[in-house]
Amino acid sequence: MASRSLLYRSGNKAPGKILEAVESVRKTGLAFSLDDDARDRRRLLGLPEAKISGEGLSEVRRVLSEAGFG
Amino acid sequence: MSVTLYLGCIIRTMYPEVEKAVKETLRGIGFEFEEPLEASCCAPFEFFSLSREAWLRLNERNMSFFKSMVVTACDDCFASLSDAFKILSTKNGVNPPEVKPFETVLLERLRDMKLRFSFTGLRCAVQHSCHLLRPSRGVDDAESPRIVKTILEMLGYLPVSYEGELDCCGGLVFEEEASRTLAGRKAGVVERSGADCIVATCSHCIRQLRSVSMLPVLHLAQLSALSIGLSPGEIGVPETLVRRIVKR
Repeated sequence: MASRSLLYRSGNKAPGKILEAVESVRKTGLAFSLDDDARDRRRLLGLPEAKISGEGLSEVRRVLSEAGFG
Repeated sequence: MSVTLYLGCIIRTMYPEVEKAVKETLRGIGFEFEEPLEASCCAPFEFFSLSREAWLRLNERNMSFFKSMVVTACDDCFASLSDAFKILSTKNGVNPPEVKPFETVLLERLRDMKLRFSFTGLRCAVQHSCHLLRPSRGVDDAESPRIVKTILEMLGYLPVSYEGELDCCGGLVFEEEASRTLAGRKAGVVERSGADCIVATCSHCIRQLRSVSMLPVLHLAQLSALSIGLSPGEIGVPETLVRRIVKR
Protein backbone atom coordinates (compact mmCIF):
# COMPACT_ATOMS: atom_id res chain seq x y z
CA MET A 1 0.00 0.00 0.00
CA ALA A 2 2.84 2.38 0.90
CA SER A 3 4.57 1.50 -2.37
CA ARG A 4 1.43 2.19 -4.37
CA SER A 5 0.97 5.52 -2.63
CA LEU A 6 4.59 6.46 -3.37
CA LEU A 7 4.32 5.36 -7.01
CA TYR A 8 1.12 7.37 -7.47
CA ARG A 9 2.73 10.48 -6.03
CA SER A 10 5.65 9.96 -8.41
CA GLY A 11 3.30 10.26 -11.35
CA ASN A 12 2.44 6.62 -11.99
CA LYS A 13 -1.12 5.69 -12.77
CA ALA A 14 -3.24 3.93 -10.15
CA PRO A 15 -5.54 1.02 -11.12
CA GLY A 16 -8.68 2.18 -12.94
CA LYS A 17 -11.07 0.91 -10.27
CA ILE A 18 -9.36 3.07 -7.64
CA LEU A 19 -9.36 6.15 -9.83
CA GLU A 20 -13.07 5.68 -10.57
CA ALA A 21 -13.84 5.57 -6.85
CA VAL A 22 -11.72 8.65 -6.18
CA GLU A 23 -13.48 10.51 -8.98
CA SER A 24 -16.86 9.49 -7.59
CA VAL A 25 -15.93 10.82 -4.13
CA ARG A 26 -14.88 14.08 -5.78
CA LYS A 27 -18.17 14.32 -7.70
CA THR A 28 -20.67 13.16 -5.09
CA GLY A 29 -18.90 12.68 -1.76
CA LEU A 30 -19.54 8.94 -2.04
CA ALA A 31 -17.32 6.29 -3.61
CA PHE A 32 -20.14 4.94 -5.78
CA SER A 33 -22.80 6.85 -7.62
CA LEU A 34 -26.52 6.40 -7.19
CA ASP A 35 -28.35 5.22 -10.30
CA ASP A 36 -32.01 5.82 -11.18
CA ASP A 37 -33.09 2.34 -10.14
CA ALA A 38 -31.57 2.67 -6.65
CA ARG A 39 -33.01 6.19 -6.36
CA ASP A 40 -36.51 4.83 -7.10
CA ARG A 41 -36.10 1.94 -4.68
CA ARG A 42 -34.99 4.34 -1.96
CA ARG A 43 -38.08 6.47 -2.58
CA LEU A 44 -40.38 3.43 -2.43
CA LEU A 45 -38.82 2.34 0.86
CA GLY A 46 -39.19 5.82 2.35
CA LEU A 47 -35.45 6.36 2.73
CA PRO A 48 -33.86 9.82 2.67
CA GLU A 49 -32.08 11.04 -0.42
CA ALA A 50 -28.49 9.75 -0.50
CA LYS A 51 -26.83 13.04 -1.26
CA ILE A 52 -24.69 15.56 0.57
CA SER A 53 -25.29 19.30 0.20
CA GLY A 54 -23.45 21.58 -2.22
CA GLU A 55 -21.61 23.16 0.69
CA GLY A 56 -20.58 19.73 2.00
CA LEU A 57 -19.42 18.71 -1.42
CA SER A 58 -17.27 21.83 -1.69
CA GLU A 59 -15.59 20.89 1.58
CA VAL A 60 -14.91 17.35 0.35
CA ARG A 61 -13.46 18.69 -2.91
CA ARG A 62 -11.25 21.14 -1.05
CA VAL A 63 -9.88 18.34 1.15
CA LEU A 64 -9.18 16.17 -1.88
CA SER A 65 -7.59 18.99 -3.79
CA GLU A 66 -5.30 19.90 -0.89
CA ALA A 67 -4.38 16.21 -0.54
CA GLY A 68 -3.24 16.10 -4.15
CA PHE A 69 -6.34 15.06 -6.07
CA GLY A 70 -6.87 17.96 -8.42
CA MET B 1 -30.35 4.71 23.51
CA SER B 2 -29.42 7.10 20.73
CA VAL B 3 -26.60 6.34 18.33
CA THR B 4 -25.20 7.68 15.07
CA LEU B 5 -25.75 5.40 12.10
CA TYR B 6 -23.07 5.37 9.42
CA LEU B 7 -24.18 3.28 6.45
CA GLY B 8 -21.31 3.74 4.02
CA CYS B 9 -21.37 4.38 0.27
CA ILE B 10 -22.29 0.97 -1.11
CA ILE B 11 -25.34 0.40 1.05
CA ARG B 12 -26.61 3.94 0.42
CA THR B 13 -26.13 3.82 -3.33
CA MET B 14 -26.74 0.18 -4.22
CA TYR B 15 -28.58 -1.68 -1.48
CA PRO B 16 -31.48 0.38 -0.10
CA GLU B 17 -33.15 -2.82 1.12
CA VAL B 18 -30.13 -3.46 3.34
CA GLU B 19 -30.38 0.09 4.65
CA LYS B 20 -34.04 -0.52 5.49
CA ALA B 21 -33.13 -3.78 7.24
CA VAL B 22 -30.37 -2.17 9.31
CA LYS B 23 -32.65 0.67 10.39
CA GLU B 24 -35.59 -1.58 11.23
CA THR B 25 -33.36 -3.94 13.19
CA LEU B 26 -31.89 -1.08 15.20
CA ARG B 27 -35.39 0.20 15.97
CA GLY B 28 -36.45 -3.34 16.81
CA ILE B 29 -33.70 -3.71 19.41
CA GLY B 30 -34.48 -0.40 21.04
CA PHE B 31 -32.15 2.11 19.42
CA GLU B 32 -32.92 5.58 18.17
CA PHE B 33 -30.44 6.86 15.66
CA GLU B 34 -29.26 9.96 13.89
CA GLU B 35 -28.08 9.65 10.32
CA PRO B 36 -25.60 12.39 9.37
CA LEU B 37 -26.43 12.83 5.69
CA GLU B 38 -23.59 15.35 5.29
CA ALA B 39 -20.95 12.73 6.07
CA SER B 40 -18.92 11.61 3.06
CA CYS B 41 -17.23 8.37 2.12
CA CYS B 42 -14.97 7.18 4.96
CA ALA B 43 -12.23 6.78 2.36
CA PRO B 44 -11.23 3.27 3.42
CA PHE B 45 -7.96 1.47 2.90
CA GLU B 46 -6.18 4.76 3.42
CA PHE B 47 -8.10 6.29 0.59
CA PHE B 48 -7.83 3.30 -1.66
CA SER B 49 -4.10 3.11 -0.98
CA LEU B 50 -3.33 6.46 -2.60
CA SER B 51 -3.45 9.07 0.15
CA ARG B 52 -3.29 8.75 3.90
CA GLU B 53 -3.76 12.51 4.20
CA ALA B 54 -7.06 12.45 2.28
CA TRP B 55 -8.26 9.51 4.39
CA LEU B 56 -7.52 11.29 7.66
CA ARG B 57 -8.91 14.65 6.61
CA LEU B 58 -12.15 13.25 5.20
CA ASN B 59 -12.68 11.36 8.44
CA GLU B 60 -11.81 14.41 10.52
CA ARG B 61 -14.64 16.10 8.66
CA ASN B 62 -16.92 13.08 9.18
CA MET B 63 -16.14 13.04 12.90
CA SER B 64 -17.53 16.56 13.25
CA PHE B 65 -21.01 15.20 12.39
CA PHE B 66 -20.95 12.34 14.89
CA LYS B 67 -22.45 13.29 18.24
CA SER B 68 -22.86 9.84 19.79
CA MET B 69 -21.55 6.30 19.48
CA VAL B 70 -21.22 5.41 15.80
CA VAL B 71 -22.78 2.18 14.53
CA THR B 72 -21.45 1.10 11.14
CA ALA B 73 -23.37 -1.12 8.73
CA CYS B 74 -20.25 -2.13 6.79
CA ASP B 75 -17.11 -3.66 8.32
CA ASP B 76 -14.84 -1.73 5.99
CA CYS B 77 -16.34 1.52 7.28
CA PHE B 78 -15.90 0.23 10.83
CA ALA B 79 -12.21 -0.41 10.21
CA SER B 80 -11.65 2.90 8.42
CA LEU B 81 -13.43 5.05 11.00
CA SER B 82 -11.91 3.21 13.99
CA ASP B 83 -8.37 3.48 12.69
CA ALA B 84 -8.73 7.10 11.58
CA PHE B 85 -10.31 8.21 14.87
CA LYS B 86 -7.52 6.54 16.83
CA ILE B 87 -4.88 8.48 14.89
CA LEU B 88 -6.87 11.73 14.99
CA SER B 89 -7.37 11.49 18.76
CA THR B 90 -3.61 11.26 19.29
CA LYS B 91 -2.77 13.91 16.70
CA ASN B 92 -5.41 16.47 17.67
CA GLY B 93 -5.99 15.59 21.32
CA VAL B 94 -9.71 15.11 20.70
CA ASN B 95 -11.97 12.54 22.26
CA PRO B 96 -13.49 10.65 19.33
CA PRO B 97 -16.82 8.83 19.49
CA GLU B 98 -16.79 5.10 20.03
CA VAL B 99 -17.29 3.09 16.81
CA LYS B 100 -19.04 -0.29 16.83
CA PRO B 101 -20.03 -2.55 13.96
CA PHE B 102 -23.69 -3.43 13.56
CA GLU B 103 -23.11 -7.06 14.54
CA THR B 104 -21.61 -6.14 17.92
CA VAL B 105 -24.52 -3.89 18.76
CA LEU B 106 -26.98 -6.55 17.61
CA LEU B 107 -25.37 -9.27 19.69
CA GLU B 108 -25.33 -7.04 22.76
CA ARG B 109 -29.01 -6.28 22.44
CA LEU B 110 -30.35 -9.50 20.98
CA ARG B 111 -31.73 -10.69 24.28
CA ASP B 112 -34.17 -7.80 24.16
CA MET B 113 -35.53 -8.84 20.76
CA LYS B 114 -38.96 -10.34 20.59
CA LEU B 115 -39.09 -12.61 17.55
CA ARG B 116 -42.46 -13.06 15.92
CA PHE B 117 -41.57 -16.43 14.53
CA SER B 118 -38.68 -18.77 14.80
CA PHE B 119 -37.15 -20.11 11.64
CA THR B 120 -35.25 -23.33 11.81
CA GLY B 121 -33.00 -24.94 9.29
CA LEU B 122 -31.97 -22.13 6.95
CA ARG B 123 -28.34 -22.94 6.28
CA CYS B 124 -26.14 -19.85 6.22
CA ALA B 125 -22.52 -19.69 5.11
CA VAL B 126 -20.87 -16.76 6.83
CA GLN B 127 -18.46 -14.61 4.85
CA HIS B 128 -16.15 -13.29 7.57
CA SER B 129 -14.85 -9.94 6.42
CA CYS B 130 -11.14 -9.23 6.51
CA HIS B 131 -11.80 -5.70 7.72
CA LEU B 132 -13.45 -6.94 10.89
CA LEU B 133 -10.77 -9.47 11.73
CA ARG B 134 -7.41 -8.38 10.40
CA PRO B 135 -5.78 -6.55 12.01
CA SER B 136 -7.75 -7.37 15.12
CA ARG B 137 -9.72 -4.46 16.50
CA GLY B 138 -11.02 -6.43 19.45
CA VAL B 139 -14.40 -7.27 17.97
CA ASP B 140 -14.01 -10.97 17.25
CA ASP B 141 -11.45 -13.77 17.31
CA ALA B 142 -9.41 -13.40 14.13
CA GLU B 143 -8.56 -17.11 14.02
CA SER B 144 -11.97 -18.46 14.94
CA PRO B 145 -14.62 -15.76 14.52
CA ARG B 146 -17.90 -16.43 16.28
CA ILE B 147 -19.89 -13.23 16.42
CA VAL B 148 -21.99 -13.56 13.24
CA LYS B 149 -22.51 -17.29 13.75
CA THR B 150 -23.68 -16.72 17.31
CA ILE B 151 -26.18 -14.12 16.15
CA LEU B 152 -27.49 -16.44 13.42
CA GLU B 153 -27.96 -19.23 15.94
CA MET B 154 -29.82 -16.90 18.28
CA LEU B 155 -32.10 -15.89 15.41
CA GLY B 156 -32.85 -19.51 14.56
CA TYR B 157 -30.64 -19.93 11.52
CA LEU B 158 -28.05 -22.62 11.01
CA PRO B 159 -24.48 -21.52 10.27
CA VAL B 160 -22.60 -24.01 8.12
CA SER B 161 -18.84 -24.47 8.07
CA TYR B 162 -16.87 -24.68 4.86
CA GLU B 163 -13.29 -24.91 3.73
CA GLY B 164 -11.43 -21.62 3.55
CA GLU B 165 -14.00 -19.80 5.64
CA LEU B 166 -11.52 -17.08 6.59
CA ASP B 167 -10.28 -16.52 3.05
CA CYS B 168 -10.68 -13.09 1.50
CA CYS B 169 -13.42 -12.73 -1.13
CA GLY B 170 -11.24 -10.37 -3.15
CA GLY B 171 -13.71 -7.51 -2.90
CA LEU B 172 -11.06 -4.89 -2.26
CA VAL B 173 -8.33 -6.49 -4.30
CA PHE B 174 -7.89 -3.99 -7.08
CA GLU B 175 -6.02 -6.24 -9.48
CA GLU B 176 -8.98 -7.59 -11.43
CA GLU B 177 -7.77 -11.08 -12.22
CA ALA B 178 -6.77 -11.79 -8.62
CA SER B 179 -10.07 -10.35 -7.42
CA ARG B 180 -12.10 -12.57 -9.76
CA THR B 181 -10.10 -15.68 -8.83
CA LEU B 182 -10.62 -15.16 -5.10
CA ALA B 183 -14.34 -14.50 -5.53
CA GLY B 184 -14.89 -17.49 -7.82
CA ARG B 185 -13.05 -19.84 -5.50
CA LYS B 186 -14.99 -18.65 -2.47
CA ALA B 187 -18.37 -18.87 -4.20
CA GLY B 188 -17.62 -22.37 -5.48
CA VAL B 189 -16.67 -23.73 -2.07
CA VAL B 190 -19.74 -22.18 -0.44
CA GLU B 191 -22.09 -23.54 -3.10
CA ARG B 192 -20.72 -27.06 -2.54
CA SER B 193 -21.15 -26.72 1.24
CA GLY B 194 -24.93 -27.11 1.06
CA ALA B 195 -25.61 -23.58 2.26
CA ASP B 196 -28.88 -21.90 1.25
CA CYS B 197 -27.39 -18.41 1.35
CA ILE B 198 -24.28 -16.42 2.14
CA VAL B 199 -24.37 -13.93 5.00
CA ALA B 200 -21.93 -11.05 5.31
CA THR B 201 -21.49 -7.84 7.26
CA CYS B 202 -19.24 -6.01 4.81
CA SER B 203 -20.75 -4.36 1.76
CA HIS B 204 -17.65 -5.04 -0.35
CA CYS B 205 -18.05 -8.77 0.37
CA ILE B 206 -21.75 -8.58 -0.52
CA ARG B 207 -21.07 -6.75 -3.78
CA GLN B 208 -18.24 -9.05 -4.72
CA LEU B 209 -19.99 -12.33 -3.94
CA ARG B 210 -23.28 -11.22 -5.54
CA SER B 211 -21.34 -10.80 -8.77
CA VAL B 212 -20.28 -14.46 -8.85
CA SER B 213 -22.48 -16.60 -6.60
CA MET B 214 -25.63 -18.46 -7.58
CA LEU B 215 -26.75 -18.32 -3.93
CA PRO B 216 -28.49 -15.29 -2.42
CA VAL B 217 -25.94 -13.08 -0.66
CA LEU B 218 -27.48 -11.24 2.26
CA HIS B 219 -26.41 -8.73 4.85
CA LEU B 220 -26.88 -10.06 8.39
CA ALA B 221 -29.39 -7.23 8.96
CA GLN B 222 -31.70 -8.68 6.31
CA LEU B 223 -32.03 -11.89 8.32
CA SER B 224 -32.41 -10.06 11.64
CA ALA B 225 -35.07 -7.80 10.12
CA LEU B 226 -36.87 -10.85 8.75
CA SER B 227 -36.85 -12.37 12.22
CA ILE B 228 -38.36 -9.28 13.78
CA GLY B 229 -41.21 -9.32 11.28
CA LEU B 230 -40.33 -7.20 8.24
CA SER B 231 -41.75 -8.45 4.97
CA PRO B 232 -39.14 -10.12 2.74
CA GLY B 233 -39.89 -7.78 -0.16
CA GLU B 234 -39.14 -4.64 1.87
CA ILE B 235 -35.73 -5.90 2.92
CA GLY B 236 -34.69 -7.66 -0.26
CA VAL B 237 -34.89 -11.26 0.93
CA PRO B 238 -35.83 -13.44 -2.06
CA GLU B 239 -39.22 -15.17 -1.75
CA THR B 240 -37.62 -18.41 -2.92
CA LEU B 241 -35.41 -18.34 0.15
CA VAL B 242 -38.33 -17.66 2.45
CA ARG B 243 -40.31 -20.56 0.95
CA ARG B 244 -37.34 -22.82 1.54
CA ILE B 245 -37.24 -21.75 5.18
CA VAL B 246 -40.91 -22.36 5.78
CA LYS B 247 -40.82 -25.80 4.18
CA ARG B 248 -38.29 -27.10 6.70
